Amino acid sequence: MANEAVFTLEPGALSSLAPMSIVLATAFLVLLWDVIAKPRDRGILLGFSIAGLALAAIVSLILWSHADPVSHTIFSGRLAIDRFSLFFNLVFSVVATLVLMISRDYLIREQIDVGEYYALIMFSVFGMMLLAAAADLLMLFIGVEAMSIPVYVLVAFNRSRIRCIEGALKYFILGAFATAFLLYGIALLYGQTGTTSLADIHTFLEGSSGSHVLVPVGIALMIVGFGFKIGSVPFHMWTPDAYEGAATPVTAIMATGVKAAAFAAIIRAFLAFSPSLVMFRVVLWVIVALTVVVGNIAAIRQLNLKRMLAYSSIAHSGYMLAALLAIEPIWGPQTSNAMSSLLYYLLAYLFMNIGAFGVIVVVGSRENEAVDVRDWAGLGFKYPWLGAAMALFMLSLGGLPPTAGFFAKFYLFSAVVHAGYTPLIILAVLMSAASFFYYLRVVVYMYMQPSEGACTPTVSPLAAVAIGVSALATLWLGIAPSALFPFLEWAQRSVAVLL
Amino acid sequence: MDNPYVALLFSFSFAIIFSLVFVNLSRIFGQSRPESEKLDTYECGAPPIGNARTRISVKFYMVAILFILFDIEAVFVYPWAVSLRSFVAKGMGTFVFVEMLIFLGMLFLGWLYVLKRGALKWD
Amino acid sequence: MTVQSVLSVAAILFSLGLYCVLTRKNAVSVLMGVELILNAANLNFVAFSSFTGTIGAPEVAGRVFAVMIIVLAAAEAAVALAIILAIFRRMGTVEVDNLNELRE
Repeated sequence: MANEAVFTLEPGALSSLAPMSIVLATAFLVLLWDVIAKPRDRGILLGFSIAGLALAAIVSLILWSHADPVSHTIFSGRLAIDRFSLFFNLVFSVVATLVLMISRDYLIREQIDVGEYYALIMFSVFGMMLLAAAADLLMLFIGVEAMSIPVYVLVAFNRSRIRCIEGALKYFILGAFATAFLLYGIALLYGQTGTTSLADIHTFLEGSSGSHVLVPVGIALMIVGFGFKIGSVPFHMWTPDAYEGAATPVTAIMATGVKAAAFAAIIRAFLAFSPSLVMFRVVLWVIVALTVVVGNIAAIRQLNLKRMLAYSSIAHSGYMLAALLAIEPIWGPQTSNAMSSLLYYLLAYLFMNIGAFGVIVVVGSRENEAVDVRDWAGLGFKYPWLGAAMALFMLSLGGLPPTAGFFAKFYLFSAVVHAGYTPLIILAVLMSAASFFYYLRVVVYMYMQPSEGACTPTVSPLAAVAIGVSALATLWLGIAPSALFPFLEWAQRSVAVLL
Repeated sequence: MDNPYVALLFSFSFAIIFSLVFVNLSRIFGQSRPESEKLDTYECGAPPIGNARTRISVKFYMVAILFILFDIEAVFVYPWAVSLRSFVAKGMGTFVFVEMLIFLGMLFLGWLYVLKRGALKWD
Repeated sequence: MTVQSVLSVAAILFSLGLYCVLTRKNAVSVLMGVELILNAANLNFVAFSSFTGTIGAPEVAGRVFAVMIIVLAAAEAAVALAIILAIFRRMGTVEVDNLNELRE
């Protein structure tokens, strides 16, 4: 045959797939256990899923400590099982565990406690892990789809509520649209560079004189695709509707896991495109400015907590995107700084968001979802722990010291300022000051309104643990941020070695 | 056997012989009780004459979508079958074979789920 | 046939798909528009893979990509149709204009 397949199987390639394989196997096990054994109490499926996630996290830790070379690509450079992807494996395991813990009560309350829910979460976590490990645009595409398709189903999961399926349709149409743009961009990049490997694309762009017309068009289309996925302005229209329509635990995973995975892919892709990114600085600048302004201003109007958090997540996407502006054509300390602060920001953002959504889940009931902030009046006095946790998450989202949100913003903004984008960061700081208006409104309603709120929280031990862990993490990341930095540095450095 | 089209010839001959044999086997051994319904033009259970733009029962949707999903997965088997020999030559035959078994195993698990969930029950 | 002519067809398909997604009111038509864009990308991949390789030994990554797109597009369509079906059962229509439960 003329075209010999270029494929090598590196030693240890299969064992480094273990975290993903465990998650996938758990998903299948949960799915089949539910239909074959028909357990009356789905708690066992929850246990299985969490055990699978814990096992995947442990294996990731073992791989982390054994990761002798900082960067390790397998299957001829298709997947990178480096510390970057292992870091994200851990993040996704924790995120999915917390989300599963806050899901349980919601599912029982809405009478949708079926095995498919747990399986779909696991399938989507598999996609996220694949996405974070993608060192090739093909794997990136498969990861995006493997993550998104289960989430489309999850958004529509509560079929009896019309808002759910409406949100699902909107999310699907724009999500599929985004994927199509992403693909078209990938196709053009492939046409010009003749490869889909990120490392090879990086080498090509380094050596090219810049006269390749398809490269900028391809990267631009990919920015549009990614922009949709993370909900940056002007590609954010679906976000509030999908977030509001979806079941609250599903919203939690959309706002955290999906976004973190998308950012993992964006970091890898943008570092690969770094030699050509100079011409996109203005575009990125405008996207960041628009996202920060529109997200924060629109959130001020929202009395619906889920819509408010949707716009808040748009604003946070904007802050995180700003870190990409600091990427230099050649890897240097400035890029390195920006990337570790971005990873730190993601981590802080995950915990405070899951915590906030967790509190919304337990405060709501079947009759009243309690997404209207006016229903929260006086909650802080009746349920002091719940009120304190929500207040912590809100203040952290706003960025008040000494919470995780403050240090996240501090590191990220100073990294971008060092890259010379002071006006943009002044705008971002002003906007995050404005954001206190709507974050504090929740606190004001909880503590400074007469206790007439219609909501009746029911806190199960499982949900309490999840909210407690998120709160502790939010505090710990804020009090001892430097403890985490060595890990983040290893993680981001492993991406650099790949290039 | 140098001509690559010999394989195609085999494939066509096999298809023709196979269909001829089975059609005639059922004619020879099968019972034949013709009635007007049976002799009518076959149209997947729908009346063959009339407006084609009528609404179709939603029960078809499940079968159709599952058919599409399982059918399209077969597209992965073709490139695998074509390139298997070159992998065997490189001593990676077992690995590549097991990979396909894993893939088919996952499809099987999917089918098992569909079956146990009752998605293929007509009523 | 040159690579440019194939790319032009793909670009036209892409534009048609975009037009379809932006103007159609029926959810199924919108889905068809998305599929058009996906297939435009697919055509690009196959074209690039045929024209960048040498005769008899095409660049194989593009073809692998094309196969993956076909399969994942089918999976997406299955999920989309299930969602559209759920909407039809609840509302008796699949016009996207009628979906206005979620508003500010």
